[in-house]
Amino acid sequence: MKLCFLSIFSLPFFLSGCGIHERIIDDVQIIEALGYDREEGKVKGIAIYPTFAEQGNVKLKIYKTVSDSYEDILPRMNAKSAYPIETGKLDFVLFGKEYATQGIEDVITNFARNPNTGSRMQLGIAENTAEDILQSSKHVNLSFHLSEKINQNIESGNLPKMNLHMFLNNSYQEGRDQILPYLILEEGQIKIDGLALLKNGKYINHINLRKSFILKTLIDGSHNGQYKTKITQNKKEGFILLKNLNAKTTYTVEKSEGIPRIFIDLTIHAEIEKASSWFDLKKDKDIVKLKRILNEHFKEEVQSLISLAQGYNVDPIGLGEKVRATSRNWDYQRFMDIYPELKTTVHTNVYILNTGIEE
Amino acid sequence: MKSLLDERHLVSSFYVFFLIFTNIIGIGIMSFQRDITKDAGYDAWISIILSSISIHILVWMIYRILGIANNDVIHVHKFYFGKWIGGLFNIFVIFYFLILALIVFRVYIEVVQVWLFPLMKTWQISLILLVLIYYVVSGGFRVITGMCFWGTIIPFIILFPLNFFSLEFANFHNLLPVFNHSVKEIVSSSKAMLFQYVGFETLFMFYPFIKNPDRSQKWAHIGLLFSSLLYLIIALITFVFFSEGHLNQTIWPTLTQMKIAKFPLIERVEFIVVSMWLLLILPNISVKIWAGCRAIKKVINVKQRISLFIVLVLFFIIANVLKERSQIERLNEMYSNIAFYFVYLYIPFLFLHIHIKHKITK
Repeated sequence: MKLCFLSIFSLPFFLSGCGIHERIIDDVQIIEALGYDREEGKVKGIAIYPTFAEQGNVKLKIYKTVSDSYEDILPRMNAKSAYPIETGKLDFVLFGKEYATQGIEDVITNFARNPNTGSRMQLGIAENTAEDILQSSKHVNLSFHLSEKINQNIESGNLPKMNLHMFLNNSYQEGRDQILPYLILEEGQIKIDGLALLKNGKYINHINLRKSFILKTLIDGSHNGQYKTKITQNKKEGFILLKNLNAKTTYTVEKSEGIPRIFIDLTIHAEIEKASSWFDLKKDKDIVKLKRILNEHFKEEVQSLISLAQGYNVDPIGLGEKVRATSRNWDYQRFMDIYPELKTTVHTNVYILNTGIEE
Repeated sequence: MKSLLDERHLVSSFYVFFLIFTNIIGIGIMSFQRDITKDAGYDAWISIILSSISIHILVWMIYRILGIANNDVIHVHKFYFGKWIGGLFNIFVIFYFLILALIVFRVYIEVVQVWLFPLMKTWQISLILLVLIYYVVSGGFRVITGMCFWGTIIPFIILFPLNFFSLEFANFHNLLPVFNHSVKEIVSSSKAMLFQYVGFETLFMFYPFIKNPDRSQKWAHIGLLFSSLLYLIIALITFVFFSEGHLNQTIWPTLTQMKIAKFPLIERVEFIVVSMWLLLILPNISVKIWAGCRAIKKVINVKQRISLFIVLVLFFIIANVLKERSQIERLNEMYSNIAFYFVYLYIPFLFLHIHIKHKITK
């Protein structure tokens, strides 16, 4: 009886060895960034993988492969690799512009199917081809620098919150269209040059970083970001660089027959970080004047961003969502029909909290 | 009231809290959000509260039924319905508990296979789990109660806080507009929610094992309250984290929302979570199997160890027969229908029947 028990209880230990598919880090090929391009009707996949020659010394290398559709890009790369390719650490997927205009939703929703895919994975659109960007990022020799670039800019720059999870949230939900960072090459270096606007996973157009600051404050409010604006005073021209300390936007939807009107109330608490030297910030009168100019400026910018989005018929701000949250009979199709004629009234409050330690 | 059993088999009334809590919180908490939003959308949090209230009433009824009989449900059936009809009900009760345990068991294996080890065979993992379950259940009711205690404490400290990481990406507009669904939709979502509370009926079996059972009712209600609060909080977090369309695509929202948590060194928390979940699942299954075996013992007088062994062998076979996800889903659906009638029709019927009989004989 005792022997019987002993054998039964030792069973788990023997059994635990089999069937578990071990994935030891030395025996798998981690890929950290993946790119998709369309090339002569075919799909080209580019993956960056790190190799560790010695401690603390990373060398990035590249796999490339071509297939007639995106689904078997990874298996094809696997056929080139000495170790099985693992996507568990994959945290950046980039699409060439040509690929993105035809739709990226399939690729991404199928990534989400895999439990190994991280929810914080970053996505992006490349100005030309994904290959250009990834090829030049190879020389950086720093793991995950592409996704870190985006994360850093979300945390302290002008990009709104984004990741795989939010992309999926927006693509499955009616009332907000997706946005992705837009990457370009500038002097051989990769730069985030604003945001790409998408509709149903298809690239429509992009906006620059200044506009993306406005979009960021409109979407989630922010505690960071820098914004340069031109000021003209007494026929003198100058620039001001504002550092946003706290910005918040509230929306009120007024339901009227037919087309709803949306009141946008934008509050920005800013610090003046840099200003042209002829600018006198000592006098209260001038500060008031400056605030008025900035108020006007932001109001115009927000309006122009909204009408720009309306012109492309995309809704990156999520105005649809605001309307949905206040209406009982929500009909997305109808909303999209009236979206270009949607009326918005913008009200801005700019507070200049300080000018640093010198005036 | 004096208990029928020897003092050394009993657990004190305070432990009813842990027994009820672990019996309710099992496998369903990983995936219930999608089921309840099918009808009521993001108003489904109302149905969590509604079904919780209805279960409170049912627990009260169970206490009245068992308080009159001062024994378990098997005895009640025999006493009030006679040998044959009562026996039929008893056989139903046996299957009711065992199939519920089987579903939890099989779904957990599925989760492990999908999330952790896709290549692991069902027979390997089920064998390991069943040996563990045998060990726990054969230890008797007091051992199971001990497991329930840890099964409540450990997940609460480790698993529950992980859900809050997803609030970083919360969008509270998802919850609006409130009350945008008809009463009918909310009721049918409450029906889906009911299946998440199923398991509290094991109270029917372990009632005689409680010291001062009449004083334990308060703990049963508190256990129920805690579990429905847990459901409510997790559902609300899920609702603000996922958009409704996205939630419809997600099979295990609770696990997916934990994926967003990020720690240095631990890239994927949900791998640890699935493993820790075993501590919740183990007492959950054990109580139900124990209840089934106890019922078998009282009906046909087979030693509990023998019936337990046979039941576990059957579990092993059936768990391996159910290969595809769609089969498990079908069993789940069928069972939740039966559970609906058992809980909402049979328990009130039994309650009324016994009360009337009791009055007449008085």
